[in-house]
Amino acid sequence: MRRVLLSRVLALVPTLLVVSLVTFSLLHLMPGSPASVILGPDATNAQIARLNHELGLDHPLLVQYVTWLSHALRGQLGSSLLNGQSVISMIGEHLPVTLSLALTGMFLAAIEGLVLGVAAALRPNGKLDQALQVATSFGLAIPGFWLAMLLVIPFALWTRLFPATGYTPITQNPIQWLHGIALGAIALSIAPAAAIARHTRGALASTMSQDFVRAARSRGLSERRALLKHGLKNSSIPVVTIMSYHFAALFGGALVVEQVFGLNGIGQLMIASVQDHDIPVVQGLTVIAALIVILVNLLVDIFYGLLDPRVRVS
Amino acid sequence: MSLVLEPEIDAAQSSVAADHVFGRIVRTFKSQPFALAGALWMALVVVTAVFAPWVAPYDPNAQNLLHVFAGPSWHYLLGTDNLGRDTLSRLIFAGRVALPAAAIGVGVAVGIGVPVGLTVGYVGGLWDRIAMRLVDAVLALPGLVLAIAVVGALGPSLDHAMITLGLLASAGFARLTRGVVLAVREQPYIDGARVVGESTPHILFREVLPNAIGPIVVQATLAFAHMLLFEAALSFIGLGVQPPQASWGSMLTDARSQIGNDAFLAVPPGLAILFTVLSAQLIGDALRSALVRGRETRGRVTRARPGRTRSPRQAGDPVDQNERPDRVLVVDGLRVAVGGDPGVTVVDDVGFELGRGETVGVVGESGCGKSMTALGIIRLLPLSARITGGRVWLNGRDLLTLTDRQMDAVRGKEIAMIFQDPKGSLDPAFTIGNQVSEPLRLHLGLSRHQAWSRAVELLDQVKLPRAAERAHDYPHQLSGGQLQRVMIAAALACSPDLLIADEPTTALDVTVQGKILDLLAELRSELGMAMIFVSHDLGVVADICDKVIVMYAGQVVESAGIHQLFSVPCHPYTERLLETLPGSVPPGEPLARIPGQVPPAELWPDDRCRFADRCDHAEPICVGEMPSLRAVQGSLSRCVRTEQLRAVEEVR
Repeated sequence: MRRVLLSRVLALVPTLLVVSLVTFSLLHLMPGSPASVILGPDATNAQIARLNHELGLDHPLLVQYVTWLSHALRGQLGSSLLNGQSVISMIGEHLPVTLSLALTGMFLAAIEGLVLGVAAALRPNGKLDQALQVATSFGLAIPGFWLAMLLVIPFALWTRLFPATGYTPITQNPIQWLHGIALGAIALSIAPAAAIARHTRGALASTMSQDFVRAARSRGLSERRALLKHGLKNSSIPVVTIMSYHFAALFGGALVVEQVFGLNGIGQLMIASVQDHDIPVVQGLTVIAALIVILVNLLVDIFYGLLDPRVRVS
Repeated sequence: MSLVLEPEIDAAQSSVAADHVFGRIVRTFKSQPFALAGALWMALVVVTAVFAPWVAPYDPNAQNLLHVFAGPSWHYLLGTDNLGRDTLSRLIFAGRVALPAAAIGVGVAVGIGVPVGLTVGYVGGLWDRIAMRLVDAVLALPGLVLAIAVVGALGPSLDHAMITLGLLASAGFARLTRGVVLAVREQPYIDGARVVGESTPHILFREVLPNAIGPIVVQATLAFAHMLLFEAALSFIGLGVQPPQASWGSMLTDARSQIGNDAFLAVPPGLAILFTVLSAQLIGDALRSALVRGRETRGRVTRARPGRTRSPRQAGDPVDQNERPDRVLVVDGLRVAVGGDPGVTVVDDVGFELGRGETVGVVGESGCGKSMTALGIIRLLPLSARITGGRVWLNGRDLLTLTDRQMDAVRGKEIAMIFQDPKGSLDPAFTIGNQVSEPLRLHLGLSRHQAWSRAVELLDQVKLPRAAERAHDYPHQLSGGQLQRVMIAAALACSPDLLIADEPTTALDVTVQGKILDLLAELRSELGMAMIFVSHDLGVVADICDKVIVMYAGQVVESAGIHQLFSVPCHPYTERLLETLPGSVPPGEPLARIPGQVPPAELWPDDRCRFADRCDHAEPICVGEMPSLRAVQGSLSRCVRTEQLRAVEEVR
């Protein structure tokens, strides 16, 4: 198991390398220099050159990259070009909203997807199974932010069962927290739930045709018991893998869904920074978003190792 | 939001021959109404977008402040927005944003991913490994976040964002293409091209690429759907097209800001996105079933399932087991068919009886219906097969009349089974102790603890060394012979009256085979259970069985006591089987083989002897009618010439 863990962590190195290169190069993709953004259109060339020097932008690219990377590794993501606030603290303010939406959405997606997938597999080609085939097609095609709007109209505008906007930190009041993010999390959960349901159904179908299921049935397990015990455990590995895949998409979707509810998450921060060309903030957000996704994938990988005895015991 | 670029297609799939492609696509769309609807919608969107200035009823940006928030009417089919702009016209013009944007994303993805995949797949080695690591890395990134970040650096432009997304998606295409290359790289015709000195680019693009086109087209269609969703999301957050230009996403931004005034504004653009994305997905799915082989079997369930009794009662002499209380099992007229209705009969009127402690061998070549007979008795036939007639009396109850639930209670308790492949028959995800405990907890109601300690005793009884420790092991930690011992322990946990052993030693080493047979014989006499021993090997059968039924082409052709069968075989097929045994010829001479093979079940005749075509003794009388199973010299034989042949034998 320790070996597995090590190899999983090592496998992250190329991902982190790609993230760091992309993020670093953002600054240099920008037309014009950061100094000219800070100083505005009236700055003289001398002023710009001096600020470039102060920011270390006159060094060779490789040196800049190593410097940037070593700072990033120590958690120093620089400060905003606009107001000088540290990027980390800005992200820290905005992250909880988005993370709440994304994690709750993923949790809901896992439950919805698993329950529906198992229910469909219990009666292959039954009514539920066929209905689910159609429903998942729609689920995969529906934009999450539009679904959020469709939920807002009846549940927040007409009936006021849920707030149309506003976020309460979980530390302040967990119930209001959930109340505030519920519609968004539900909207976000639908697409991954559809994918998870399909994969669960498919994985269960192929597991149930395995010889060991027939052997278990020969010992007297009913079809349902065999599915819930042998089918589910053996199908959990492909299903868990698909979940980690979908988290990256769901996280991106959360940035957009925030906008529907006017929530002040990192989507808001990112859009504002993009419009202001505040590149250090954009870089910081990119790094953090990638790290969160990578971290979730790592956790899933470890969980996956725990599920499969062939990986765990050897 | 389904903003995922997952590798949807397996590498091993290859595309079908090019000449039939068009016909197959047309046929697929004709036979799938959903796919056809998707294709029609997509065509509608494309055509209206191309001809938008002529098709749209109004200028998409023309404001009419006298008609703001107009609901749908003949004048404005889908109503107007807060500035009095016609929603339908804006929707139509928005197609001119969404379709090219998605096309750019897919174009970049294919244009970069496919050549990279071709190259690294063909070159292989270190480059391949580095590229695949990078592909994994890129696929793990949140695409939308990166696209937004690039827009932040380069300035607001939908093209920049779509190119970025295309670059990220290219990783998926590289992986897909590489997979196809690996699958075909070692094919003889590729080697041939190499030998005749074709250049590498020629081989890649002319010989290898055609194999990948089917999967790539499918993946591209699905990627198109994803790209449409990305475009909508980017425009919605104001980082795509800029106002007043209409895009489905930006129309939803306007709808969001007016949601309190006119909720209907949110409906048409959302539906436009939904239907268009759905259409792309449906088209992709249809193309996959038309272009990509190997997927068809994937979802198909061939699950073990109790056979349903179609016509359980046949006219003829009814067997009442009450008349023979000493019998554990009486099988009478068992029929199994596969496929549709009426299907193909693969087990045809099989019958035999078993007393307590008695073992019957069921022998014959592969494809004779031996396993189907065994699975029919325990009612675990594959989903494609079903019982179409006969009775299976176990301890006086006809198993074929039981409900599924009643049958569940019988399996593992009164009747148990062990299989040919012990490795595949144990669940890799559970300990062997757990699996041996299963029937104990289920049938005897033991607690987890009690069941476990009983399981350890059972494992000890089947001579698994260090049973208490090994009960905690997973199947992959045991050898094949040990696994078969575990299977036996689980099968015998509740002391069943009948054990069905379906080729239990075939998958094992010869040295292990003997030990497993000894174990079975020992346990049988200890427990006094009856046994059905299915085997293609008469030698093994001779060691363990009291009597034998020989099956050919779904029928019993001979049924006899073990000594009788070996000393006086009545059916020519039995004779041929015996000749294949080592020891039937002097050492040094090659073993006999039965020429030919069992024909497939749909070719089995009903009006003549099924073995006649392969029989040395066949005469016109053999093909006149189906011979019946009749008593001859203490055996049952299905050969009309039994007496003649025996007489000839005796003269010799």
